[in-house]
Amino acid sequence: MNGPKEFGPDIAHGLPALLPRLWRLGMSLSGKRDVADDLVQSTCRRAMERAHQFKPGTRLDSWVFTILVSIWRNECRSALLRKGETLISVSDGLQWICENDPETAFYHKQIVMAVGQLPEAQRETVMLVYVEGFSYAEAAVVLDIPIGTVMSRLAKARERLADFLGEAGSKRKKATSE
Amino acid sequence: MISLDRARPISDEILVAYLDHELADSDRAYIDAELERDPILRARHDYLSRASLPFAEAFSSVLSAAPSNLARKFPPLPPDFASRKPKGSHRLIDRRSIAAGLAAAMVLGPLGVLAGRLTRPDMNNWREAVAQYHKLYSDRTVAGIVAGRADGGQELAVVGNELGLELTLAWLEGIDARYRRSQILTVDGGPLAQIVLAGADEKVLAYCIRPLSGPDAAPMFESRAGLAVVHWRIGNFGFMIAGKASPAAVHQAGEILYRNARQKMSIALDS
Repeated sequence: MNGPKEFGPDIAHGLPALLPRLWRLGMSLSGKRDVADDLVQSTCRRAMERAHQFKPGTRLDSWVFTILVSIWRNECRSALLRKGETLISVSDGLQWICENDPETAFYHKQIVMAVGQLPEAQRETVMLVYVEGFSYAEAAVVLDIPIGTVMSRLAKARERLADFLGEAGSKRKKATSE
Repeated sequence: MISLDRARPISDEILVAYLDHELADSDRAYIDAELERDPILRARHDYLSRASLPFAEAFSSVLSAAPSNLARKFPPLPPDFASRKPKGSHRLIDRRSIAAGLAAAMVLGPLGVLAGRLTRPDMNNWREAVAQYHKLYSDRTVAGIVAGRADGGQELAVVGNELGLELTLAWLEGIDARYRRSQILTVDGGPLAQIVLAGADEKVLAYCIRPLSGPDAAPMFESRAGLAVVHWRIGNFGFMIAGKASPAAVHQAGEILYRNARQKMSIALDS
């Protein structure tokens, strides 16, 4: 087993590489670039404060994602709610990114938009399992929910996504035929 | 892996777990057989599988939109940072308070202001205030000041008198930084001594001392306002050193200044 002096270097070396992924999750939760920036910074600093709690040999990404989700739920989201800023759709922020990236294929934009329109609970679960590649069990730990809740969220999300992308596909076909 | 209860009907959740390869091989084989046998289940499976999409590829555009300077915002840790474990519950509370304060303080927009109001009062705000003040210093701030040992000793004596400490240049011995000036500032209505030092590459360091009641505390590293900070407490005085130098350099200076202060103050207390 590693000694405690090895905790710090694990985090110091591993965390910078995770920053873009943390930012993406922050963006997907908030739909706002500035909030995503702040979430990444808060997460890094909280990780430093709690470096002694990280267990060597476990996944660093899972640990810092857990911190980010906690900060989002307990601090940032409540602040935004009080300001009434949740009225702004997350998909608007994600759309802005896609629209400004000429490399993004239309089909991929549709997927990002569809995920952006999911309810937050489903969206965060989709992001962790389908985008970040966490297992159900790992996502359950990050989100601090039972594994059964992960399953039901994904089932509902798939229903919505299937409907959304089915409609989008139908409209696209109709527009093409006209 | 998800455990499957074969006595119950196959739910959407189980079908999704099947699509996501979260079922054990034996359970997958069971679902395969059921899909072969049951057209309604197969239709449901086909419907849910429409959402088996290239999510990771689609979200790569969001990944590449992340600000390129994120890594610069992340202050690296000194090598032994994590070996500094909290020793008591009061320290844990203190750490939470620091984290809450940092989270609020570093958010630059209105959200940060709001978050700051929502968090409980940060008992360590004096360090935040010092860090924010010191953040305004550039490498050129003290470039024109050349203080001799005699001048420095005199200034330190005056500043120390305000605090009730016999400050001398010996308090700074051993650090890789040169004395530049010292002055008295005010924080929370009380005096704060600021000793300005020029470290390697003329990076300005601020060594600050103020009266602060509470138990003695060993040096702790933190990052505030983008500065590396080491702080400790001895004999109802709070100490901190902060600067734009590397965290390792600030950390090293902090350890030496802590040892010096502890030695000088134990002498003062004994005499």
